[in-house]
Amino acid sequence: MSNVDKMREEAKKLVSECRFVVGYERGTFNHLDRALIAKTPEDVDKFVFGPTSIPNLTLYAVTDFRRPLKRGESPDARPIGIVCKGCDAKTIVELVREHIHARDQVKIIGMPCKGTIDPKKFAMLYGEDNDVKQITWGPDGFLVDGQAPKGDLLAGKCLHCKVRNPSVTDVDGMEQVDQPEAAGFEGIESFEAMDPEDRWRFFEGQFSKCIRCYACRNACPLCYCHQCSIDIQKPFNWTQKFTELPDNTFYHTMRALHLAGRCVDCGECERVCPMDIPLRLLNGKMAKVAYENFNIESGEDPDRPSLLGGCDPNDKECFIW
Amino acid sequence: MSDDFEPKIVAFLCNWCSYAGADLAGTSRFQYPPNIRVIRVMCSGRVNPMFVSRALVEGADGVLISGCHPGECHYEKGNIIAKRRFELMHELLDFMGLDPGRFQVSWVSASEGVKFQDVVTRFVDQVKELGPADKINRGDEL
Ligand code: SF4
Ligand code: SF4
Ligand code: SF4
Ligand code: FES
Repeated sequence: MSNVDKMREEAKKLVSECRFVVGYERGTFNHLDRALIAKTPEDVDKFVFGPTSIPNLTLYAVTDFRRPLKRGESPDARPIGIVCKGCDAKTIVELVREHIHARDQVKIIGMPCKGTIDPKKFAMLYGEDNDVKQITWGPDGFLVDGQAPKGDLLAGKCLHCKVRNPSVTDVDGMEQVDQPEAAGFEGIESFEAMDPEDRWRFFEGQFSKCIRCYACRNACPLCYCHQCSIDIQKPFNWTQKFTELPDNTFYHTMRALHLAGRCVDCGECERVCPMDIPLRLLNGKMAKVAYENFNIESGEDPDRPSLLGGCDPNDKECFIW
Repeated sequence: MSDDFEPKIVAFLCNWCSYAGADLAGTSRFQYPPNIRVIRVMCSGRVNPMFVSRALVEGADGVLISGCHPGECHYEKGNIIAKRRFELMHELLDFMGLDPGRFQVSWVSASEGVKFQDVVTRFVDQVKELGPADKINRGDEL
């Protein structure tokens, strides 16, 4: 039985005992898949999985757990079923560590994954207006409508992935995939090696483009605060609403700090950014500091306090007088 | 850099140690540069690292945060919680090429008037070296 059939079978079992099972279905727009909230076995029949199953569906669970109850509504004790790639399963671990939900409140259908495409790279090679119908995993790399692709399509996050076979799952018996050697912090290091002024010129250019649509925040499964500090109006605004460099820089510094040691590198923020701002660079730097200075990795162990949720008198002091 | 540049520096001092240390420096008549604007906070753990970027956006040339020595915080571990955040903030500013030298943390106890004088003098020199902060300054008068 293929992994996709197995996924449907398991989702059908779960759909009766869960609030809903969220998975992927074919989107209306050409090849990309979209989320489907399945409540009946018929819905589950539409589930697909492949290199275009890109969104991190844990967001649907988080928003549901964080949703205020309607008047008279009692909390639903049933779990939520989620189709997860490895990086999405890491998100669940991080959410459990942060007590957003308990581990048994979600049922993870962990899907082994050989990497997703980067829709932006794809659009560059094939044009925004392409009529590609389906992208699949071939024996070596992607197949675009059955053909070898015109160039590299792999999403940047997948080069760093250590969890092609999800580290947590509630479904056994999936056919596992090969796990290639994951890239480390080389990209961050080469950026660090640049001259500080050049680094600022780069970020200045990037931050100036930002239109503060907050898509990055809204797509991030770990940006779950009921009230984001960027939205706070009272007693004062942390920053102004206009999209000028100082305020944009403030926003991005804040977001990087708040996600330090928590970001699981699911790549959603960078994917949804309409201005192509390389947000994973900032988050990657924070992950590097978390790992190298504090020996903390996101999505690893739900029983250890997170970077910002804990403290240690023996922490390094690198610049304090 | 012209010699008459006088940086504007915001200093967050913890009530129990550094503020008292600054007081001691004052009553003992230790001279230190008059560039700092002191904001008294109850503990260095109260200082959100975003105060740093906010101060830079609002027109400060430098931000100094000072609290009790680790282990001496009057709320036990406020400064230990805070220092992790300050380290992260410092790394982030450095990574973005945003003059990390404009941000300094120090531990000054209530009896260290001399150290306070020394920290302020060193920090003001360091910021003078960097010149006026103009990268993310919104340009309003502080
Ligand atoms: S990061 Fe890993 S699990 Fe996530 S899409 Fe890429 S290869 Fe799959
Ligand atoms: S998604 Fe992009 S443009 Fe929108 S707020 Fe985030 S970084 Fe700025
Ligand atoms: S910051 Fe971006 S990559 Fe990190 S968890 Fe959030 S959406 Fe995913
Ligand atoms: S009371 Fe001084 S740092 Fe906490």
